[in-house]
Amino acid sequence: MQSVSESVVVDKPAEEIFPLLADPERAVTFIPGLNKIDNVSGRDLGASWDYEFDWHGWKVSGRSECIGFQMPSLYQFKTVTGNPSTWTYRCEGSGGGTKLTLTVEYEVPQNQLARFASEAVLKKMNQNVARALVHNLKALVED
Amino acid sequence: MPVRFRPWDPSRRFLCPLPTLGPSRTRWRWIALHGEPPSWRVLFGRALALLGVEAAPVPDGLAIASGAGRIAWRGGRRWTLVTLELTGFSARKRALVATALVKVARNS
Repeated sequence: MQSVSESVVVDKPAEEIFPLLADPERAVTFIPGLNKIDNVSGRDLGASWDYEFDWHGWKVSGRSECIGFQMPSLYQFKTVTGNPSTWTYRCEGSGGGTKLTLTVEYEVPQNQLARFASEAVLKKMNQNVARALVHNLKALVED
Repeated sequence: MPVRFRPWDPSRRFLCPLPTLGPSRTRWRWIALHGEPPSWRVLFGRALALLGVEAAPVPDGLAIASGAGRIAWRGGRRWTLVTLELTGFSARKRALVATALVKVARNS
């Protein structure tokens, strides 16, 4: 499994950040390339939903499920169809604000490597997405 | 995991962005082509709610976050011209708001 991780300090309490993380439908507002979330079933731990990413005409879709929910410090979900991946958001107090960390663990099937040129390129792309994602969350919550 | 190349998706509305002038992005315009016009007020209102941004109905659109901006629309049966103006928020948040509204205009 490969992983990428990015952190940012947000000048707001975790209680103001967590609702944005824990509502699957709100993810389209801060995840680059995430086109839509559909068929949300359940709430909190065990909730599941369909997702679709769109990168310049390439559509990647599947279903995810929440596997970790500890308000306001941990939100975790995994993809249950297709490429295995686990997304973990952690909120920790930091000097009056909150350190928000996103870690994404993922597998890259060998038959898809050709599409992304190399594993290193894919890791770089995912790192850039994770960095943009946490900074988008910071902008939405702080501003 | 389905991976499909679909540069044009018939389930989505076609959006044609219009050029805007100025060094700082505070205005977005696009033309949406559609069958029956959707309820833009409902679609955009919901998208703004997901962003945590307040919206209040005005005669031709929505006022955004008590003076931070507005989104307005007008058109015919098969097309709608949407104009979004945002003067509040940081540049990053303005871009996020605009992206979210374009997404919902295209996908919902």
